[in-house]
Amino acid sequence: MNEKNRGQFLSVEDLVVEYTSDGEVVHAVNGVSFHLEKGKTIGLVGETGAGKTTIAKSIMRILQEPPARIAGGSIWLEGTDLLKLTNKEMYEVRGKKVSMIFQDPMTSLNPVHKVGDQIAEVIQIHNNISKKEAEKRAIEMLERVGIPAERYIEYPHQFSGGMKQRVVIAMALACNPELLLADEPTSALDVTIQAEVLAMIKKLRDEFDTAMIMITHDLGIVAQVCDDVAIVYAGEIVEYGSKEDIYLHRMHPYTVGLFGAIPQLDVHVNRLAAIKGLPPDPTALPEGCHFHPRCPFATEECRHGEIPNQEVRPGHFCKCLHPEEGRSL
Amino acid sequence: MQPLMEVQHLKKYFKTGGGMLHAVDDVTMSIEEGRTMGVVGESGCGKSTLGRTMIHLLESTDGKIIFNGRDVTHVSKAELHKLREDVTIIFQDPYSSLDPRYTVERIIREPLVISKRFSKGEIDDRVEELMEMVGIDPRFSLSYPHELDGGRRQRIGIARALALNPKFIVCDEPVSALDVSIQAQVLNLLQDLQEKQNLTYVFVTHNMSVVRHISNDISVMYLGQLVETADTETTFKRPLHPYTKALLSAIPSSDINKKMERIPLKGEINSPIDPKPGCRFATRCIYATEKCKQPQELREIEPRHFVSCCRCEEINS
Amino acid sequence: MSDTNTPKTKVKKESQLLGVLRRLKKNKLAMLGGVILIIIVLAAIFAPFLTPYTYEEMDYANVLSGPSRQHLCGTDNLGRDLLTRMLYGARYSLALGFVSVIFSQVFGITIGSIVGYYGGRVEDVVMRILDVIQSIPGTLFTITVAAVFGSGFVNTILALGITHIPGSARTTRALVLSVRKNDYLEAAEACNCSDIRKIATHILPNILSYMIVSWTTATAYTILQAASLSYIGLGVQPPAPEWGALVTAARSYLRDYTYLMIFPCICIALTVLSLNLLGDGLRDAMDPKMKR
Repeated sequence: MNEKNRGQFLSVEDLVVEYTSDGEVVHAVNGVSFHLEKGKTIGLVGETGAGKTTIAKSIMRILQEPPARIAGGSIWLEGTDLLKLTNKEMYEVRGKKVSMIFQDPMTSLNPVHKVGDQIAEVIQIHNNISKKEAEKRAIEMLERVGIPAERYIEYPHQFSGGMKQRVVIAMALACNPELLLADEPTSALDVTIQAEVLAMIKKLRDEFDTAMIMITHDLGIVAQVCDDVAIVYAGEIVEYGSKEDIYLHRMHPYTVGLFGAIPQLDVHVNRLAAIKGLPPDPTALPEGCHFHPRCPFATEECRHGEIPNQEVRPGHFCKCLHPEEGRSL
Repeated sequence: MQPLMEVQHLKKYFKTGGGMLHAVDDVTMSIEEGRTMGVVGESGCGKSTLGRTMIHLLESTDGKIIFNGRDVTHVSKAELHKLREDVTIIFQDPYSSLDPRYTVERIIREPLVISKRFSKGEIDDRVEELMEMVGIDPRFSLSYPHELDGGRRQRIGIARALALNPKFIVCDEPVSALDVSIQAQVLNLLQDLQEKQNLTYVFVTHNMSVVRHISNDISVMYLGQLVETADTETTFKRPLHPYTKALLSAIPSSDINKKMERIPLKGEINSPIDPKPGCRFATRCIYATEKCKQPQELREIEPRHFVSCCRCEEINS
Repeated sequence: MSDTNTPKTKVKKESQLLGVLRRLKKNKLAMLGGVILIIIVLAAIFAPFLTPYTYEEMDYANVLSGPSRQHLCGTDNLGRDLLTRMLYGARYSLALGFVSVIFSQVFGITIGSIVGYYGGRVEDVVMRILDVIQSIPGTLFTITVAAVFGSGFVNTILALGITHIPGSARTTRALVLSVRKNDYLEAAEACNCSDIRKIATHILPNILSYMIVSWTTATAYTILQAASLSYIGLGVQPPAPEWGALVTAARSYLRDYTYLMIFPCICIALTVLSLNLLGDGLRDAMDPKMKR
């Protein structure tokens, strides 16, 4: 990518991440680039193991290294390359500028501390304020996410799943981060609770003008929450564009397959169009287009060489030699 | 048409430290042969317990279970063994539902061996047939479950369930642990098998899109009770119970031009332990009145559309 | 599709035992342990052919003589050949170890799996009884039981075996509880699997590999315990050359005739080591998840 993108709020360029396990190299992320403006939300959509979480963890710089290794690329946040920061500098960024919400709220909550104190602690670490002040801010945050102040002194186990996730969100937003990474924040929750949490995330995002990366495989959530969408397959973004581009004019066969394979409330079919085969083994990715073994439109050229990332419409990129609108698998 | 499986006033209570947990409380439901009944509800609403109680994996506390026109609520051991050849279950977790020390072939073989009705040659043939039926290559027959992906494992679970030619299968969230592209393959397989063998499913899930896709009828449960049951189209187009309405309105639509108009829920969820009589949803219902503290009953509001809400007509007029 | 047109793909079948052995073979340490153990067992069996002496034969001309050509490991205070005594001693020690562990495991596994599988009131009662027994220090309990039964080979096995029942039952129960909640047991129930069949074919095979480690350590520990029983005169009686007895007898000569102590100790250590190596290897080899 060019200099222009470095002026963006967040710009991920050619990110490559590998894991080494048992002497085998797992190619988790293979040259991912995207950018994000302030106050906008991008959805990373793909299956388990496609590399979505690894991308988010790279931005947070919380990958376990080793076995993980960021083998290339750069992540520009307001003109600074996060990958070049020292651990100490990154410590300042994490929580204050960038924070992350995980799928399981208990990965972020400590079972033996009061929830209020846990939020206050985050605030105190990043702002030079007294404990009293931090506690006051923590109560404010709790109320913001719809938890009454009286529950400040309760412990995580006294909260339901949805309430725990609210606490985590309060914690993540406590220092007004400019970038929020949400890794399937609602997939462990019931539908009605999910709706409440999503509505809350949206409201807070708009209030604070936070940029957000939403990782999910729920096309409904993407449709309701995101502005841009990146479809991730085998560690690559295979299609990237605005929500309208992807939902109304999708072109990559994998995107088409994904939309056909997931039952959707508003689209009724008698039989789902399943994508044949399995996602590739990330230690031995197929040559050429990684999707070609499962793709009904694959030709001889798809099996070899680098597949170019074509700009099929302004701002709509598709990593496919035969992009075409309106077909089905 | 005579229903294949019918439960009447079925109850399943569990003793807990805090009192009686009413997991399934007075559920009446009937499922016709060859159809799929989707049972939906949020975690802890008793939908899995209902499925397991129906097929005697859990003993019912009270009520009646009628299978194929016969009362099977209380059965002898021999009768139970006979019953279990006709009714079976497919599990949610394709990891813990397969014994890690059994090969694929041995897992599918087990129900056939236990039934003691077949010779070794017959069993071998049947295992091969079942593997082909669910689309597992014979080269995997001596693999262990951990060597296979989730989709294949779930196919093995399905093959095991089909071994004795059952009529009725409880599918307990069979695709929710699978990856999205694999979900479609397994859902299609379940549909094909149903068509070919005239199977009857109870499909327990929390995923409204999946249940809409696969079910003919839908029952909505809330805290152990059935709040609404109707055919799929009616449930989604014209839900009558306030909970069903709220539930459906909470699903994020994949239509980018459709704005979500969520019906808000208020208050806290009731405890299923020793619940008070009256509508259990009342504490969260925006329409709740004094009247709702009376015990509710499932009423046929329109033909084949049952709702358990005393204010149903008022709200929907 | 007719069967005649589709050639049946026959996959070569490997019995589970062969699979375990194949995986075990790849584990060098486990194989080393196995080889040592086999050598010790063979030496015990063929003791009469490996030495010209008998274990009671005294050579007054060579009392307390160090290792020499005549007596490879030297002789004791009565001029008995130490190597011979160790070879015969292996018979006693190994038999004591193996038989008493088998005895305790048979009872322990039965009690533990029944209690763990069924739970309820019976579990509470049995577990409290085991608590009471286990609150008595192990060695003291063994001594008490041994004192009740009296000394001698069979009684020592009984005493050691009974001591280890509570521990074995407790381990088994804990392991049963850890696999009991798996869905595959409910799946077995759904296809009419009886309780006994569930325990025998689903639960025990899944916990066996973890138990093997405890068996090998128990065997090793039992051999050492048998030695302490001999020391206070409750174990196998002299002149039977049980290894523990050899060690205790050597104590009086420790300063000047160290070899009397060292050689039996090496025997015990080698046996214990080989058992542990083999146990660890078996645990891994029995786990189908271990591919290599």
